Amino acid sequence: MEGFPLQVHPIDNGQQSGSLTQESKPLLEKEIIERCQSGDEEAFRAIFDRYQRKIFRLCYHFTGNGSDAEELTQEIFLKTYLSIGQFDFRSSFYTWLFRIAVNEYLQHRRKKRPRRVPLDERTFSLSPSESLPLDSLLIHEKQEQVRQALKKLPGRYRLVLLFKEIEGLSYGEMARIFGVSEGTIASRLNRARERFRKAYEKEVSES
Amino acid sequence: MKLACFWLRRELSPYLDGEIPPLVAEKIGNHLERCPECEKELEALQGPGRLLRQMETPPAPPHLWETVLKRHRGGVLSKDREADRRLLPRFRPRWALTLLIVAAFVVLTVLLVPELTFLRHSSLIINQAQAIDLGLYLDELNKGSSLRTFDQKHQAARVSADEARQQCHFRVVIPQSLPGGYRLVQTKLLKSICCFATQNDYRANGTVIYIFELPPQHPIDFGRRELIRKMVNGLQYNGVKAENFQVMNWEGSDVNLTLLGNLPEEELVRILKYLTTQGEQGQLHSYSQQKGGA
Repeated sequence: MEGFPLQVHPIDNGQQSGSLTQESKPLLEKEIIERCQSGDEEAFRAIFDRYQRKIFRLCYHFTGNGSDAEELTQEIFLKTYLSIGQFDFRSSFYTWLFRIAVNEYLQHRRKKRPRRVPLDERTFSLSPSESLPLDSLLIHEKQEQVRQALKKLPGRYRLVLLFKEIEGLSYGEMARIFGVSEGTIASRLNRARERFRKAYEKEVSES
Repeated sequence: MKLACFWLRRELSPYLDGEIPPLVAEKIGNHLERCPECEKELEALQGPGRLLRQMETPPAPPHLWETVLKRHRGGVLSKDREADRRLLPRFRPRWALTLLIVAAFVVLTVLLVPELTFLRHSSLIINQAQAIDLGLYLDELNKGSSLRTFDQKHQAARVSADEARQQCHFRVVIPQSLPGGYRLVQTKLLKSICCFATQNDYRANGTVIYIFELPPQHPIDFGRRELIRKMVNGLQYNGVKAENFQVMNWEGSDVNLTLLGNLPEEELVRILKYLTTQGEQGQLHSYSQQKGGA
């Protein structure tokens, strides 16, 4: 990624101005997308660099493990690459990208079979003999409880909760991503919070 | 829990997310200041977000871009999808021919079998049971109940299918130009009358006769029918002006017959006479055929 000439300014729908430059010229996300649409691989790399952390983080929370998250991230970017020509700038790019992410996740979940979790991803991979301080172990345990509680949520609740709490999307943006009304998002989010809270309390009491 | 708290808690989640109007937010804020229980509830709602934001995520793998690029260049969308693609049956002309024959059969059936005429939107025969159902639905709309509640509530009140078959059948004439299915159009019309929702998209651009024969136990409340008539007439429905719109009740000895239509009053009266004075089944059917509606 080092030395890559294009950098994308995070703008919404190309309506704001970019400040980062290529050869001192302002470069808007809209321009980058247009270049992607004409098959510019470097431009897509810029998009990828801009969103890969966000998407990987989401996928990690969606799936609960690193290797699935990696696979899902690949799928999402491949799909984006292939269908970027269809993006018509009517919505913001990240809403469109997140919609692809949701669709890919749902597809991924349908196909997902019970898998063996690699040893390095398991909760008990950190043995007490390892020289981790007690604080880190406690944090690790707490995170595992959160992850388990999240896993227990039905997919639609998990998605809205993550979009809201991790990505900070508005109800309107989520409504566009999921193709439902804002009222639906509001009630879904309310239930998601309630369910998550109960699941987390259960995890804590069981441990 | 107080009633105010009960309603307010439903709004706490959008309040937390800043998704409610400022005036409402202010009211909720005021309530929270003096209600420790709701304050506690708000605290609890904030918990999931706090926990999730503390979650650590491993960094994205460094070779991710290379993998994506490699797969893109190699035309590999997904291992799973590749497998799916292999599983998909190849297109064979024989299949296409079979599909074509089935489609042709369905189209011919719809066009030729009289019982399926409702699919053509041109004319429809409804029996008494259906009329009662629609009437009851209309009744319920007046009260603002949902269709589901209506179904449960009036299940016992319906006549059986056999009973209904013994009754006369009425021809309902709908012009070809009406869009959508019969049920849709009719429901919308009824709804608009009952709820005085004159902005609905009923296109009153032809001769329409709607007839419901209702049992005396379930008379439709058209006490305000004069008002309805005045409201509906002269209004625009998708650019078409409604004229001579009538809502009439005729209360006989054992039935309560209601006619709605975009017809002159004397026409409706004539139809009523066909139905009531001659006493023969199918009179309206022949009437509508005479008028060229069937």
